[in-house]
Parts: sequence; C-alpha cells; structure tokens
Amino acid sequence: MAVNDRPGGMTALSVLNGFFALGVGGTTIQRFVASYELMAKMDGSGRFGRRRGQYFQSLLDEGLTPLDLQILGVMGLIATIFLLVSIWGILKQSNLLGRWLGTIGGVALACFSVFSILWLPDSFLRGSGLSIARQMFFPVFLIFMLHVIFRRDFLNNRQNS
Amino acid sequence: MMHHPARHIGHHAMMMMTHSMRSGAGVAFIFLTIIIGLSLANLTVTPVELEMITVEELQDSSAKFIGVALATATLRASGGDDNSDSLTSRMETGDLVDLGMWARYLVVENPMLLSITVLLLGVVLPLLLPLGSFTVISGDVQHRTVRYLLPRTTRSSILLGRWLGSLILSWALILFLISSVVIYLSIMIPSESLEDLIPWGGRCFLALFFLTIPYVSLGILCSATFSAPMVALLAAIGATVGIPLLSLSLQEAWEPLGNLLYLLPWGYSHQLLSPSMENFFEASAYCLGHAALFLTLALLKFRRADL
Repeated sequence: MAVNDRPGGMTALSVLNGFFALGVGGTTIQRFVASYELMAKMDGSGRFGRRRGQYFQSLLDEGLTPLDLQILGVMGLIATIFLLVSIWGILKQSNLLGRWLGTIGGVALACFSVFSILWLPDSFLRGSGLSIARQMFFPVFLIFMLHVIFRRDFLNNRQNS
Repeated sequence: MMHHPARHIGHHAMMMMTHSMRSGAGVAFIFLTIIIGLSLANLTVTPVELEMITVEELQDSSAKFIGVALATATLRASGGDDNSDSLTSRMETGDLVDLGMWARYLVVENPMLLSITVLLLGVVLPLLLPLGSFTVISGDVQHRTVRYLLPRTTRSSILLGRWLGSLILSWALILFLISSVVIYLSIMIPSESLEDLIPWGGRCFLALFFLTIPYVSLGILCSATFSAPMVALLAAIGATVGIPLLSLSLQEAWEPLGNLLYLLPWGYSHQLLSPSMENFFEASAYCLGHAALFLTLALLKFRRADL
C-alpha cells in the first residue's frame, strides 16, 4: 500500500513543474542579460565583438527595446518562483500553495511564451512558431490537471486539515 | 444483480482513463506523447518556416529519403547495389519505381509537412504507446488489488475494458496532435491549404488509429504476462525495438529472416499511408488481426493468473 494517498500523477506533475521552472528560469536570466547588453549597445558603453555588435544593432533596428526584455524577464521570474513554490504545494496537496500558485505560475508561463512570440524578432527567438506552441502546451496541461483531474484531492485535503 | 458485459467493459474503460490521468505513468504518457509529437512536427516545419530550405527542395530531398525508408520497410532495399544512389536510380527507372511514386504521392500530391510528421509519428508512437498501457494489469496484480474487483465483475471484462480505455486515451492524444499540426500548418504555411489538409489529416488519423491498436494490445499482453510493471514496460519496448533491429540485421545473413519484421506491424504499417485504398484496408485488417492475437494471448494469460 502507498505511504500516503497522494496520486502518482501529482508527483509527476510536480517534477514537470520543476523542469519547466528551471527551463523558464534559464530563459529569464538570458532575457535580463540581453536587456543590459542592449542598453550598453544603445549608450555605446558596451564592448562587443563585431558579429555580436551587429546582432544587437539588428535587434534594435527591428524595434526591440531593453524594456520589452525586462518585462518578459519579470514575467519569467514570476513563473519561475511560483512554479518552484507550487512543487512543494502540490506534494503537500495544499489548495493555496499547490493549486493556486501552480495556476498563477502556469498563467505567467503562458504569458511569457505569448509575449515572447509577439514582441521578440525571429532572429532572437531562433525557433519556429510550433516550438513556441509546444511550450504553450505545458501551462494548459498544468492548469487542466490542477483544476479538473486533481481538484477534489486539493479540496478534500483542505477539508481534512 | 447481473449487468450486461458491455456495461462492465465500458465502466472499466472509463475508470481506466480516469485512473490513468491521475497516475504518474499516465501523466508521463500524455505529456511525452504530446511534447514528442509536437517536437517531430517542429523538426519538419522549422526548415520551411525559417526559410532555411524551399518547399521544392524539401519535397525533392524528402521524396528520396521516404523512398529509401519504404524500400527498407518493404525489405526491397537489398536487391541491386548497396549504395543509396543506386536505390535512388532504381526508384526513378528500375524495379522500385512504385516506391518512388508512393513517396511522391506523400510529399507532392498531398500536404508534405503533414505527411512527414505522420511518418515520423508512425516510427515513434510504437515506442510511446507502451507507456500508456504497461501498468494497466500489472500495477493491480503487483499490489494484489485486482482481487477486490473480481466478486463484482469478470476478468475478461476488466482486461477488455482497460484495453478499450487505453485505446481511447491514445486515440484522443493522436487526434489532438494531428489537429494541432493541421491548424498550425493552415495558419502559418501558405503552401499548405486547409482544403487539402483536412481530408489528408483525416486519412493520417485513420492510419495512426489502426496502427495504435496492435501496439496497445502488445502493451496489454506484456502487462498481463509480467506482474512487475517495469518488466512489462521493458518487455513491450524491447520487443518493439528489438524485432526490426533483429530482422534487418538477420536479413543480411539470410534474406528470408527479414520476414521476422512481420511479427509486429513494422512489416506492413507503412501500407496504411499507401496510395492504394486496397492496400490500406489490407494493412488495417492485419493490424486488427495482430491486435486480436495479442489480446487473445493476454486474455488467456490473465484468466489463468494467480491473483
């Protein structure tokens, strides 16, 4: 018999949350670093190689601003933190920390993907739209699992505690 | 009170799907199937979408590649010289002309990107499907929980219901994948029109629909044979990968041994996308035959098992 009554799917979902939190966390750092490099390029204080300098100039020419990258970075940061905290919440079957923080993390992750498609030039994204659509699958899947499949587990646990 | 067996089977199918979505293996199956399926589609679409290659260039190169793959799958690659250039010339003017026309049917006469995605799915899905069925019987047998069901239902109903549940879940995932790719291609790739994509998407779904049945049945057979779920998973994936590797390597030693490929649908599954509807129906019938065989063996095993 299992030691506790947590469904195996919840454990799997929390592991996936961890993977995606790390993935979006890495991209968030990249967004912040790129925004500072772009600012350095704009005010002429940065030292770049010829190819990298041309690359940043092309991004500026395509209308990308450091503020866009910083807003995306903040969305990514929110997604990372909320997804990481929700791992613990899902494992504890906590309605607030698991279900609702997971939901906010999922929405932030979806916003991060959608606004990346809308704001970033193709040369920055380095991928087709389908790869971004693939990234969109996880937030939708996470929210569906938290609010449809595991809803009762969270609510029952709240009543019992 | 006695219930009709069909109601029992339907109930077990529903319970199996609900349980599958709540289990770790089920979540992994759903997630991996969708992510890997979309990744394969992405692999196909990216070169065209990012204009790294033109549609015509991709048509030309993929027609050659698909022709070579079809020659290998139909065990006709070893005739003539060994290099792939001679295979290409045999497809243009020699004994493999039919395969060359078949490849052109897939990439020129029908939406190419969808065809390539479905061909890749046809190779990868047999490896993913056991993930959705390996715990169906073995999980309960290992924990000895199946005995609590037996006073109220029959072993056959349990097995058939769970088989049906696994199939419906797999079909739903495939339908989701194909619909996503069709919608995406119709919006983003101007050369692929919705009028062509919808009927071809339907045909591709039918092909994968029939392909799913024997592989899910194989997963159920392994699940009914081995009481440890991980052993069942290894057996199902091992058989799925091992049989084509074994047959293609043994074919080098003695050509008739290549027919070992027909132990699983690998030997004929490509016919599900054949230009000839007769071949399609024949391959579908073989898929159902394979599934019936695996399911009968699973039933025999499960009915005699000490639970």
